[in-house]
Amino acid sequence: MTTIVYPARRIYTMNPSQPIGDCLAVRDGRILSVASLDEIRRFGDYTIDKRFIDKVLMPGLVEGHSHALEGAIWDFLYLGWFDKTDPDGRLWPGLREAESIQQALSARLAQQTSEGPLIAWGFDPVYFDGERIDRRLLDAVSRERPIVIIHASLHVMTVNSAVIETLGLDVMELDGIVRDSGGVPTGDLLEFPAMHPVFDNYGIDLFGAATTPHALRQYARAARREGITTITDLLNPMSANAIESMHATTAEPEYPVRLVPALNALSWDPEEGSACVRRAMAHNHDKLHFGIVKIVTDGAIQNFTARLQWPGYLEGPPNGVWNAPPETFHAMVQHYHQAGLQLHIHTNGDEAVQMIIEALEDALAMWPRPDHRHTLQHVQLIRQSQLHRVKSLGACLNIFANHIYYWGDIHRTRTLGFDRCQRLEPVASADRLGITFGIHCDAPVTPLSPLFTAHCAHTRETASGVVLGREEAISRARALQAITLGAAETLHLDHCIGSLETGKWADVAILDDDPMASDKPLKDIGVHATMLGGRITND
Amino acid sequence: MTDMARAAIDVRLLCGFLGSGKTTRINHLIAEGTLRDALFLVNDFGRLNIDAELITAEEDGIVRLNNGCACCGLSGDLSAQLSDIRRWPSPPTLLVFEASGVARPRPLMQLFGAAEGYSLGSAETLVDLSALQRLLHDPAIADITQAQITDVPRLRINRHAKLPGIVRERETALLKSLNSAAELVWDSPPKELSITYTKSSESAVWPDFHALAASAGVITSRTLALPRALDSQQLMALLDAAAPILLRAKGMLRDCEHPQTLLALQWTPGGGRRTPFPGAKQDVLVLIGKEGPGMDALVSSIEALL
Repeated sequence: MTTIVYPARRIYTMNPSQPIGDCLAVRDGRILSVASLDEIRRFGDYTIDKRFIDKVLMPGLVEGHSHALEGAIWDFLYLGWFDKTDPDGRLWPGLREAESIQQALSARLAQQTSEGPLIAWGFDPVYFDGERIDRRLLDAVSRERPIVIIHASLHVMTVNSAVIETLGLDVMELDGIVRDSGGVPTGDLLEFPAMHPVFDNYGIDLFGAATTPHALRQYARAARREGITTITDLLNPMSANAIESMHATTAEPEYPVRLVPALNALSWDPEEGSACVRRAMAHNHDKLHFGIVKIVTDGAIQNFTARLQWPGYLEGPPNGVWNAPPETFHAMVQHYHQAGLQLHIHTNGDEAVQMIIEALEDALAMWPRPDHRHTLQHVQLIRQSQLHRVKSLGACLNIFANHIYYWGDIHRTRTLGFDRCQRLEPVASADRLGITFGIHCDAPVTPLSPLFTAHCAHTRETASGVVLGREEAISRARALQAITLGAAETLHLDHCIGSLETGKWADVAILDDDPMASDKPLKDIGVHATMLGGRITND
Repeated sequence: MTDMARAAIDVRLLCGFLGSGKTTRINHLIAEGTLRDALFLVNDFGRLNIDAELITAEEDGIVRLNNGCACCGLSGDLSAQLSDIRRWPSPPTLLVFEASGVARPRPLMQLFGAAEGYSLGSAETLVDLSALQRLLHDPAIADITQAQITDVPRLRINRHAKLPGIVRERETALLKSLNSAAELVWDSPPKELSITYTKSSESAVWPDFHALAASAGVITSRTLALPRALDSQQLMALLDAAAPILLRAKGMLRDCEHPQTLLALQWTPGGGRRTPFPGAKQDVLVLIGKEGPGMDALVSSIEALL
């Protein structure tokens, strides 16, 4: 029963009774005390470890909405517009011209020894105004070796002639095969029916790969580097193999994060799904927590697939798509609520938010349940009236703050317009109403880095430097709470994580600078190390 | 056997909105037993009603039946699932594919027409004629409903028997105006329930809940979606008759006399009440009672009222 005491430059606890401290005392993997050494001494013998004496400690960061796909997708070549860091810590600069995309593809082809396809990801055509990345451009890299670029949306891919000819795509009758005025495929394949022949022929299974031990370890490494100690996989297939893989991998002593997977409800009959979660919960241990269910109702605003109320999109189609009939979502909410499980519901557009608020009201009228903490995820366009209803329902929000930086400029000019961008990701309104909320990155959609996410919620700066909706900015303190205790509350895990409080697990983020006192932007605060259950983790 | 040597899997595509009868159709095809070596790939796996005597094995989410057929649920990534199925050591010769309620038939028809290892044999959309107007006028889903009607060569029409002749003719004309080339197939009404009935004091016939209560088990709850208005007087009488196995019922429903008025229903063995309820809620009935054949019979009887 050893007590280790870590003196630090400053400790931020997120515990309202005791917000700051000098020394952190850890015993048996839990927090024993955050106090002066004189006070800690009363607990008996201790060892002092001064390695963090010039560092700032805060609760281990909690990423309440991201995907284990982040651990698998880096096996492919990154072609995104923005700089991104892979799980090994290597920085991949964003690619902003067609030529740099071609160079990156050529360089990878030269390294690739197998004859298999060159697969790339992260490309987002929304940033390439006028310049087309198409078959012709990929053929200039190679006409013989198959090249497949999966777009950031995952709903579109671009392929070269080698792929088109091998698969006979030019003679297939599929609406999703985009053709030029002469009827020749341009290389763009839209949506699953047109992409299936490529996935099938080259054996590409992105989501299957995300459940392997390799992907789970890479995912955890990427998270740990950013100060995360609890991470979610918010759309898990929960197959027997996936559960076994998660159970075995997270149980490894050196596995550096706690993992919270959510059942993908749309893949299951509700009865089977709730039974599956109950069965999986028998596997729960300190680093693996089953018990939440994810429902994905609509698409994404930047893809014009989120369901919007009037006046819809600035350009593009009039409205987005439902992933299932609204009645199915009503029935699912009823079922999983009644089954006592916690729901996390993807709702990007305000029409999707409205539908789910009504479903939750129906379920709660029928089956009142205190402290259910059903959480609406993303809620990018939630309206003020809807925030009030969320508050009265006792529901939580997890808000996609990173969108402001990555797509804010696009939302102002192409998808939503000025007014709706003032309320985009309304964290300050959620805070004013006293709604429990977290903020998130949805990796691999945007990079895994809660301090960057907090920076977005605090500054509301777009990539071009415009401030979007100043009234919805929150203070550094509230932003830091949202990436620790707030996120832990949305996962119903705040009894054991989210703050540095006696009895909770000793999960700590160790920072180079003071995020409250420093002039440094939150995104630039360095993460020195993390501690998980008292164990200092590193690569 | 190599990929090349295998015959393509013949696909029967079943489309249609939620509640259009796709699962009933698949249950019917399974029970009929005339298909051989077929795989039923279904959305709502748990709702399939497979006779336990037909099942020979259940493994990795696939239920194998003694007539050589099998059933499995749709997993999240359909592409990976289709790739997997065609590479099974013994792939099926026929795939009966139940599309999602919001799926548009055309891309799926094209997919099965083009995908390696598959060949589209037939495609049909199931149409609940009594719900057609509601679906086509719901702004959230009208475009999908219309695509489900226009994209396919065959429309299989059900729930038409109770409609007045004039309504049936009007709805049929509407279908023909949307898709004049489609073959219309009229499904016969479902078979009567195979449960012994007893006369109740209300002169309606209900299952003998006293007899069925003998094999009742643990307390359970069932949630029923109520897609249509029903005779709420009859429902109350049915709930009273089910008192031997029913502890509580509550929900929101509409009576066929005043279908525009939503009623909140509360029922206990001491009695029940229906109260008009303002606003638009989902029509749903929750039953709490004893698990077993009595509960199954109660659910079937309520469904028969719809």
